[in-house]
Amino acid sequence: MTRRDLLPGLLDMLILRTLSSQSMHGYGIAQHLQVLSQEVIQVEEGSLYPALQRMRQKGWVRAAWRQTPNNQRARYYDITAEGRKQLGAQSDGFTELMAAVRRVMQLA
Amino acid sequence: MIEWFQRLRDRFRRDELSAELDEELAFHRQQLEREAAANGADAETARTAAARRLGNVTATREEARERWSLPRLEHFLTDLRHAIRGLRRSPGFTLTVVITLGLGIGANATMFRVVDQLMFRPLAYLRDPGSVRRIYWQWKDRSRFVTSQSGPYTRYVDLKRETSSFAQLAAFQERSLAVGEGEYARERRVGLVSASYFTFFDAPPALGRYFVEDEDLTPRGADVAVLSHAFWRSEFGGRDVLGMTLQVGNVRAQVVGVAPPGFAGVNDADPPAVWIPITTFAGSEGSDDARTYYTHYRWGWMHIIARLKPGVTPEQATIDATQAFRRGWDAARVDQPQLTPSTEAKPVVAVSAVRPGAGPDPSLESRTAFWVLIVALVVLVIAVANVANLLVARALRRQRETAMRLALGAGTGRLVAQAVVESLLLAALGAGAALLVSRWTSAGVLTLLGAAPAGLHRELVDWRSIGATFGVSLLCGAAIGVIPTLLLRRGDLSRSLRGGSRGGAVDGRRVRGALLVVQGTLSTVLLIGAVLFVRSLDRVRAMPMGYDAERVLIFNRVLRGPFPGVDAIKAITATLVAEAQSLPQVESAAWVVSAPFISTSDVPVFVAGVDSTGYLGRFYYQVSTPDYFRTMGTRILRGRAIDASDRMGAPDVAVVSESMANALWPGRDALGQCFRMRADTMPCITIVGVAEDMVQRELSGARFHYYLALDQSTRQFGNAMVVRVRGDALAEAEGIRRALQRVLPANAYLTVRPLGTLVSDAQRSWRLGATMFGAFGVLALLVAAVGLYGVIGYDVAQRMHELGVRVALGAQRGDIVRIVVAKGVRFVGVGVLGGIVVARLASRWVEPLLFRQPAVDPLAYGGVALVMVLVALAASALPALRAASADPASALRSE
Repeated sequence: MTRRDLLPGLLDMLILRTLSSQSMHGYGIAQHLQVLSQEVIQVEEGSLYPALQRMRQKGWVRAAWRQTPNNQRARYYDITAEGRKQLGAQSDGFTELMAAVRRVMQLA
Repeated sequence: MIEWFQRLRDRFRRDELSAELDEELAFHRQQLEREAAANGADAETARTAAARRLGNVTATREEARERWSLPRLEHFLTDLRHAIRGLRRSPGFTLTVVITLGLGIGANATMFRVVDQLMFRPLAYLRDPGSVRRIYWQWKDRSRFVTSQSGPYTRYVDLKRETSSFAQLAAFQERSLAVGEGEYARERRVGLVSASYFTFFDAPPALGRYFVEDEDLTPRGADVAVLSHAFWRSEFGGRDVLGMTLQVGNVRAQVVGVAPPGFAGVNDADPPAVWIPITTFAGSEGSDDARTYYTHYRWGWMHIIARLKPGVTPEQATIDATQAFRRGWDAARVDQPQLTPSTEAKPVVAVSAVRPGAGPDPSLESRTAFWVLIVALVVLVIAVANVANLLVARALRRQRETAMRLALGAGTGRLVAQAVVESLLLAALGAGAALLVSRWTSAGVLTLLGAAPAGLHRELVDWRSIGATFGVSLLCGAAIGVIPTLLLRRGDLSRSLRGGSRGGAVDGRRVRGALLVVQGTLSTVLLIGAVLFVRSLDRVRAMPMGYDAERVLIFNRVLRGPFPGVDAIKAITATLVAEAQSLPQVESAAWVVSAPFISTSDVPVFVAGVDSTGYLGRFYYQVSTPDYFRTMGTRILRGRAIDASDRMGAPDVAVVSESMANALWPGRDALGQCFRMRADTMPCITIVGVAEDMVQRELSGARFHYYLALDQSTRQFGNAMVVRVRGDALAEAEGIRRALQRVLPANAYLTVRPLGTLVSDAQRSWRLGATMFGAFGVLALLVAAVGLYGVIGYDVAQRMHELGVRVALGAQRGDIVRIVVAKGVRFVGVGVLGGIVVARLASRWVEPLLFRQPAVDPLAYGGVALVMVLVALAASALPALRAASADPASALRSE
């Protein structure tokens, strides 16, 4: 499988989607995306952490230090109400866009 | 917005966040290594794999770090640090600027507070202040247009019944009445208000309730009282006072409520201690006028506030109320035939500002204070011009540095931002100094204003003033930042770099010259104003009062309870006068019906051969016991004073003032003439003496006074006594009051006021103008002189090279001094000419504020011009001498 770069803005949506089912630490998010996308999406840690900082400042996610099941200290991220709203808006936009792109690709 | 705030918050916990991120990355790395190890890699391979997966950690950190800050904030903080360093490097410059701005802004903060209090500040607790107005009565009295806030209660009744524009109307007045009993009785401000008064405010009582319509009825309301919060706390320690009785003037009132803290009604300058229903007060007054207060129009004594109905404009309300006023005016003529018919008097109502200072006829004090505020603004303009000038000089000195930075690629925007930050910092420091200045000067100005302090001293922190101070400071900061910046941008880069401090200053010179001329103009105007006001005050002080104010005390007798009868009143009066005359510290005493500045009454007079005396003005009368003139220290110019032989049964006699004698019997001897009071059918009163003019009400205006004998009066009893003291009137006042109180019955109470204080109060507004204009004029002169000195000094420093060449070519020291001084004087000279033109233009508005002092006064203009030129000479002489004594060789070498 070749690795694909993410379109700008998509990373935020994917992170929010991931966090909407459960809270996770940064490593967990990266793993989750990698596994679910069957290794197509490989999140660069270099962009994951700045993205998390940005989303925290925008109030979409909250961060807190918690113990992992292995009893290690890790920083967990939770989605906020504002973040869910954002996720809704972004995924609607994305669906619309994808539908449009698909239509164009099939017709052309 | 949230993001911005978060970033700002993160900015201040950057280190913490950074540590957290490191830990987070370390955890991530550990997980990756473990993952690799689980897949069978050895420790070394796992570490490299993890490092590869993790990517550029430093870049991640950098990127995150950038998000923990606000770029503009960082720039601002850098600029601020830069500015602080710069200011610390030149403490002399900084101090000059801060003091100049502090004085300029401080003067404005003080005057803003005063004018705000007099004119604009919304009343505490007032509901929807935008719809509340005060009623002013206006009519033509002979050729003069009169405005009055006071009117009879009947007009209030008329407005309530006959108008439809007002949602609410309230009648109110204040009196100083004795509150409490016996030893504890003190004279206090008492609010006499209709029940509707309280409904104008959203002020739930702290205790009990306010009085209601049923307790405020004509002819006499219920004996109830509401206490002010301050009075309740200070006199009753805040305990339960409901149901308690409190003697208020003639009324034994039951306390039904306590107002909330800070509630002052309409008068927040001098808040009342107690409120009673206005009908209760009027119904218990007992005088002739008071008995008919709600049926007749004779007693004009109370004020009205009104709330406009929604959608009704003040203009519509004015028309509505004027119709009611006109009908009332016609009705009043039935028993006051001397009133001019309404067709001639043209009575109108002005529905205007609640604060009289912003109403149609502001007091002299309000008008003067408003002018002084304008003066303060002018001082501020001078100060700002000065600071801008200093900053321009500074910018020019740094021109090379600036050019260098521009050449090295610094953006103009950043340079401007830096200059603005520096000037805002200076303005902020100035504002700080201004708050201190205003703290100190407020007290002084308020003392000058006299009545206002009570309310103003109450709040130490006045947010409106502080807001205004910082607002003004911000504007100043912008102004002083923009002027030098404009110059900076126009400078030619290469020329600045090449020419050093000798070149490239042409623009600067022109602007700075213009600033100097503006300063000179404004200083001249202010100084001319100061001289005019001081001369006006001199005239006020030099005016003969017609008595020795400093030696006289005025006592007021308050009798409580029902009227005790004519004989009892006369007996009390006689005892009191006799007791006063027997005191060793008293030289003489006289019982009087009217007291100067406190209460004076006028009645029209009729003289054979004069068609209408009313055309000449009002004639005020005094009724007294024999020693009146001796007690006051008033000279009898011709004939005799009232004496003990003028009693009931003897021919009716009068003494008239010199002005009255000259006005009614011009060119003839008034002695032996006679006049009639009230109507031309009354018996004729013979004039036996002419007294010098006395000031009894206003300092200006006609002095038509006549004096009658109390023993010949059947209608007047009076309630005041003038006492001439042997020593210091002020020091003896309380002792005499206590001695006299002993001979009074228990239901009577004496208050004392020195005549000197009353005179001084009457002079107050003139003093305010003179002091404030004087202080600001001198301040402006100082600021302008410092500015001139700085500019000339700087100029000389710039021209050292040129001056050195001149000396080397044979110029004498004197020539150098002349060149430099001539330049300074030339700037100021142009400024002075401009100032004289402006002063001449402004004279029309200033003259009404002056006391018998023409606003165009050649002496004042000339004197100020001379002073300005002398100051210019002095300010430029110092740098000139420095330039002349410099060694030309070193000046030439230095470049």
